[in-house]
Amino acid sequence: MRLKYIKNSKIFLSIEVVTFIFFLCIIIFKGFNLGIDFTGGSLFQFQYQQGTTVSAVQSEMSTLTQQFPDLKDSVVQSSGNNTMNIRTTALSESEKESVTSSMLSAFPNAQLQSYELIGPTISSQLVKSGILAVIVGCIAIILYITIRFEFSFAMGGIIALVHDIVMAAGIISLIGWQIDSTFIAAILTILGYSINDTIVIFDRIRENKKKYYNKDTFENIIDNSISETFTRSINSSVTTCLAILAMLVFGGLTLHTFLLTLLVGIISGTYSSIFVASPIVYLFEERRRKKGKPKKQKIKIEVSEGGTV
Amino acid sequence: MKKELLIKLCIIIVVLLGALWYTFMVPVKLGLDLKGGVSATLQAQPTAQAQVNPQSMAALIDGLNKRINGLGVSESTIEKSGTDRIIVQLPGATDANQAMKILGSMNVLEFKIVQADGTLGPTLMTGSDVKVAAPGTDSTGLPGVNITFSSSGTQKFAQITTQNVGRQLAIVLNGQTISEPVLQVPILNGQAIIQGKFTTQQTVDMANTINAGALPLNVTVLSMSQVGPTLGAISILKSFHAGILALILIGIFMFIWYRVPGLMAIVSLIIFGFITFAGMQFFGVTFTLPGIAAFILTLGIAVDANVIIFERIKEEMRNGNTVLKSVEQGTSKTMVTIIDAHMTGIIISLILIWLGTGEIKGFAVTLIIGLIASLFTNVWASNVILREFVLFFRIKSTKMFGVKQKEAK
Repeated sequence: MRLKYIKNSKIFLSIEVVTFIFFLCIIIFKGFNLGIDFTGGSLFQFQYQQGTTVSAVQSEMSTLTQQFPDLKDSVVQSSGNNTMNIRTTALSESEKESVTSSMLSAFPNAQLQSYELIGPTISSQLVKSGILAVIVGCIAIILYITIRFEFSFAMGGIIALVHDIVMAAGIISLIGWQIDSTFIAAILTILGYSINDTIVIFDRIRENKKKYYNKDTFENIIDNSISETFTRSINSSVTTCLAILAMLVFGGLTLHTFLLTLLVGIISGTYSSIFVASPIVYLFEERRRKKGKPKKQKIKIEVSEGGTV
Repeated sequence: MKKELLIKLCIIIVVLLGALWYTFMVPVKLGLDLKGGVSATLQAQPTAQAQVNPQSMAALIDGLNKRINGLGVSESTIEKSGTDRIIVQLPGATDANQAMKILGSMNVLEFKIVQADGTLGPTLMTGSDVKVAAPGTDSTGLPGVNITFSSSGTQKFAQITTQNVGRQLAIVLNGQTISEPVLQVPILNGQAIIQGKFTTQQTVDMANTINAGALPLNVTVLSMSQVGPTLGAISILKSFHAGILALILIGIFMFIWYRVPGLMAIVSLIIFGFITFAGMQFFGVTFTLPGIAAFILTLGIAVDANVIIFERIKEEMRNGNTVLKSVEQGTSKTMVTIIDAHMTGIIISLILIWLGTGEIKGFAVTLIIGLIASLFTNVWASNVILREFVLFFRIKSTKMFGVKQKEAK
């Protein structure tokens, strides 16, 4: 699609800044609905007979609370198909046994489908290693793009990336779905995906820059490169979204947050790689040009040309 | 030129056959979230006698293995994670429940003094003070269990028995008092015998349990997950359906948009699927839910590479090149782009494998195998198949690539 991407970059970048600030505020002020992976605790999943209500299970839990005070903050939630999740603080083996056996005896045909216990050490480690992985991932990508392209490209790529992560995390925070360890995997996958989207455009800019450097303005070169790769950008996200949609249809509840995070990240990644990453590269290049270092830049381009072969 | 293509085609066929063999002949390793069972992360902690070090960890794993083996859970694995953690995996939920109970109560054997009011006092000694237990008989010829304490245990036991002559010593195994002998004289030689109304078989079992239970380190359960076999079966079915649906949706989209190459994309996608699956089999990767998600996601990445190539081919056609020239130009010009695009994904996967834990690691391993398989099929196989196809059927019309005659100037 032919647009004046650079000329209108102020509009596109404003949209980016506004959505970025909006979702950042949501993340900061609303926070996340943290699952036991992050908070520590126990999670039961029981399958009940048709017609079993949440309140019936709740009252059974409150009877148990008299015996085990640890259960007082337990939450019972329906997860569809007569399955219910019971979330409590981290339980000991005997407490777990008591909950299980009393559920099985109070409700005929009840079945324990899954049980998960996450101690506080594990959960704090998960958060730490998750944040560390995101930071290391960003640095690795800046390095890779700087080596393969130029530093200004790395800046464009990374700003687009941070935008995508905030968008995806912000929407999850907004609708309040519970996040677990797979959320971190989703964020990191977005890291890879978004940069993949961006790199294809950068690649074309590099190619066209080589071809037309003295014949056309940098503005036009970027505009043309984006237009030429436009269909690809859209089609690639469409096919990936189709794969995610297929999983959303069949995936069951366990992976919902993971899949939605990815879906938002990929759609946002397509927008940002077209409308955010390249304009930022342009702005960086222009600033450098205005500072008056044409000679140095020339040399730099020759170097990057050498690298493409 | 043609010969070179033919050789490449042969290589692809060989790789594909290898992949098919691995896909169908090697049994699939399913994770506990798909098979059902219990997995737990245990934290080893130092005791008064032992520090956490490689030797004591090895001894701990050995001890845990003995306990699990005694329960007859098949295919259980116990492995070290980091310096002071152990991951236990026990497939088969019902047996595993029993096993977790044993693993969950680490200080199986305890020695306590029975107080004046009949209740038990604090734990004075544990199984870690025992050097060895053996079935035997007591002075009256009845079956009993002979215990030999370690040197520090001997000292402790001497002290306890000296201070509590006339009282009852309770020997507690897994929370159950198994005998309460009255201490008649101080025992200084580190030898004791557990008496009771035991059969010979019971004393053999008990000696085994005590020996297995004498773990060198204390253990606490950090995390645990238990999945019933039905839930696992449902997950497998759902994932299978999701994969098929993804393939169909992508296939329809690619055919509508790219026509003949779209069909080629579906072929290369199926090849890609088999290679990725076989890659996981080859490296012995366990299939878990996040792993399957990664697998289906890599379908998207693999198609993306096709999209990049086909868009470029269409572009070349619009620039007035012949079909064959366009295919050659399109595939060679996009190679760098595709490699760059895959590299970022590979970098991220490596970081995830390095820093991630459990589920995330499984996700990343699958992702990286998928990315490498995608590189092979797209940088190599896809364009060879496409060129071979164009040559074989002598395709001249750009229409079959979704480019109208008018557009191709």
